[in-house]
Amino acid sequence: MIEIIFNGEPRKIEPETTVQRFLISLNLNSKNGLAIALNHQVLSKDLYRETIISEGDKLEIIHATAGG
Amino acid sequence: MASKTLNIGDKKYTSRLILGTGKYPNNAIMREAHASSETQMVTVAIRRVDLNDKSSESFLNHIDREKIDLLPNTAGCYNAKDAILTCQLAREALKTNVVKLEVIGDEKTLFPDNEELLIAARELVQQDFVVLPYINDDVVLCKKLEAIGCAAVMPLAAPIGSGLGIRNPYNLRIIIEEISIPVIVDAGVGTASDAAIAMELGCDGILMNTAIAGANDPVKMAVAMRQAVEAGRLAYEAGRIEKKLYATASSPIEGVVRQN
Repeated sequence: MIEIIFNGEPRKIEPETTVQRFLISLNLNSKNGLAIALNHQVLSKDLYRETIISEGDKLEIIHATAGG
Repeated sequence: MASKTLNIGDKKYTSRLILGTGKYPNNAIMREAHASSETQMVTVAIRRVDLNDKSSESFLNHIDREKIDLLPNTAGCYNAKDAILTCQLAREALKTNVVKLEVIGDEKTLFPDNEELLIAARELVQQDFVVLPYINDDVVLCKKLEAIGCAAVMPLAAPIGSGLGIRNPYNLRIIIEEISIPVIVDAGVGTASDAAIAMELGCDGILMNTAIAGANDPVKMAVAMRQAVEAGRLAYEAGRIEKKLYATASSPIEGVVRQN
């Protein structure tokens, strides 16, 4: 297992996990209106399948919610 | 000549009222309040997904996207770096490049951090964002933001959520006179007369959330705000009379019936 920082919290995942696999593991793969930043860079959707998450990576998954 | 519409980027809005989506008693009331206000733009916050939220329904389903555009905000950001990344994520998630830029400098007052705001605004304009910054009612800062290419300036009338109304109408008036891009009052409005006052001063629009969402009857308050914004705008366009200290009779002075 490797450790990453997901939404600000440490989390252990299998090595060689792609962003797409990670989304599936969280049941987020079919959700609309999400965006992802990997190490503070926005990752476009077409790269989810090929991008492998590495040890120490910082992953943010966001969506829109109520606010003023 | 004053514009007939609120122009933001390349879009023209007939409604001058921008609403929030926060703090409503529930989503159904929010949707009804949005409809009653006839708003064409509402703000949304950008947040980390909540893995404990098992509902499959997206919050965005409660916004009438046929009629209403989304305005993602950077609420909660305390530095330019976080605000910029939040805007980039919002653009990816919502497919809009229009953003309400907030960089907060103080937790208690939620007043903006001008220095970080300018850094973020400059960078975002360069990245082709349509930037609507939430700022203090400071004409010098407004001029800088206009010069770097912001699409509007959004001075606060009073602290966010305070409902204190238009605390410094003279500063707002100076901004309106000195700035060519739209001036949208963002924050501080408490009730309908506050909205009317801002519009009578010549503001191009008003952004409000708590005043409607926190009212006892948000749907009714949404109607009141729509009417206040329209009335205030009409009064501004009509041009008010000069203020005078003494009376001036409205009826003819001649021909009054007298008994002696």
